[in-house]
Amino acid sequence: MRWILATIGCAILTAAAVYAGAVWAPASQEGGNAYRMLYAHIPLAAHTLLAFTVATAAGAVYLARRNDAADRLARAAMACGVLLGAAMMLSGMIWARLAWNQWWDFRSQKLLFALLLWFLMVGYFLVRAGRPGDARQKTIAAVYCLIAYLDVPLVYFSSRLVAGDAHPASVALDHWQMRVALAAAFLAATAVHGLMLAALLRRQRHGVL
Amino acid sequence: MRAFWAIVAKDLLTELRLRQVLPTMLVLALVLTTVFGLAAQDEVRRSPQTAASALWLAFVFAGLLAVERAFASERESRTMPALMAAPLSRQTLLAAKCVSSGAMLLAVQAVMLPIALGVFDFAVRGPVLPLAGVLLAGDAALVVLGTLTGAMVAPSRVRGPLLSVLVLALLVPMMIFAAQTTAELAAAGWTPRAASLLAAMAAADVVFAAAAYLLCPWAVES
Repeated sequence: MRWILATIGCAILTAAAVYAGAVWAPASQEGGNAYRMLYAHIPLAAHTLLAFTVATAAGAVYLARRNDAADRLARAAMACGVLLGAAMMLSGMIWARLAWNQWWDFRSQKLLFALLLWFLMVGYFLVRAGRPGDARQKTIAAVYCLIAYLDVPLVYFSSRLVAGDAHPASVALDHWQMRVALAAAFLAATAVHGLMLAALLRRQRHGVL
Repeated sequence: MRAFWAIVAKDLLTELRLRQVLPTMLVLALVLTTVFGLAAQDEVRRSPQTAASALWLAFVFAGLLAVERAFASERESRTMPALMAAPLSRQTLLAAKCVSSGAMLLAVQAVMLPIALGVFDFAVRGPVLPLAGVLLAGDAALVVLGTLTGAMVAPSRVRGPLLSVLVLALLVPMMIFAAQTTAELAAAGWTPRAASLLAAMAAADVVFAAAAYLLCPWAVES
């Protein structure tokens, strides 16, 4: 029952956020209507990084304490990170198609940063493939997580090195409704992320994932 | 320290006698450089950017062969338990494996560099010392991350492909730095930009080495 209520709550919040971003907030002066993708894109990007951070912290706890709950959290958080990251890039690609008339632009440092970061997160599941529940595998997955997280600043600076700034640095949210819509989008993304994490943790406890 | 040098000497001697990876590394680097040279059109081939990127890709793939063997060979010859029982720390073992893989990579680079300079019509301007610095800084990251990951995935049945994917994902940023610095050296010589790029690479190397030092008790199997 709790799950059904939580899912319904999440769906209502998401629907409200979609409505606020897609209909209720006014069109942007410089970005037209394409800018509305930002309401999905920015919260997804923030939550992708958050998920990676949580997974790394949980990995570090697993190494220090050999706590299986920490390993389960790391795995669930990383799964969230991969899914949210994929959704973030997809929303970014749709935005790019609307704004620049192309799906992907390797000249954009942010796109490159996002893609390289996503590869690092996917790598975690390659480390974990096969032999589930094996203590050695949990350990090396946690080690990989820490090394991959250390790589993030380098990924950021290296993407700045090879790609220009085709990506819009910022879209001015100069109307109060835009800021409220963004806050609603963040709230909805947090709820969806939380629900996803809880569902993945529950499935792992029951040995499904 | 004696244990460290003993492992390095053992690895290099074994390689010299059996020639397990060095020839493969060299031929792979040569084939890759040729293929990249063929793939790029004339004007693109002459750009330092293309040449530096192709060169570093060839080095990464050659280096992957060396780091994969570092721990896998010990498992195959069933000497891993003996190494674990020996009175040496995991850090010493990892450092020795890094040095022996690094020596093999440097040997391949010493042969490859003049050839690649010819294939890509690539000239090094200014002093050669900074180029050696870039090679060492790039190799250090490749060898440290590669050997650590190699130790992690050594027991896996699919360790070869797995190691390639993981190391490539981890190394892409460092290789971007290495290729950019090499291209800068080729295009403009020892500029302040090249110096700051090299300093960034050295800083990243220190971070990776420290991480490998701290994490290797968990990464190297018991």
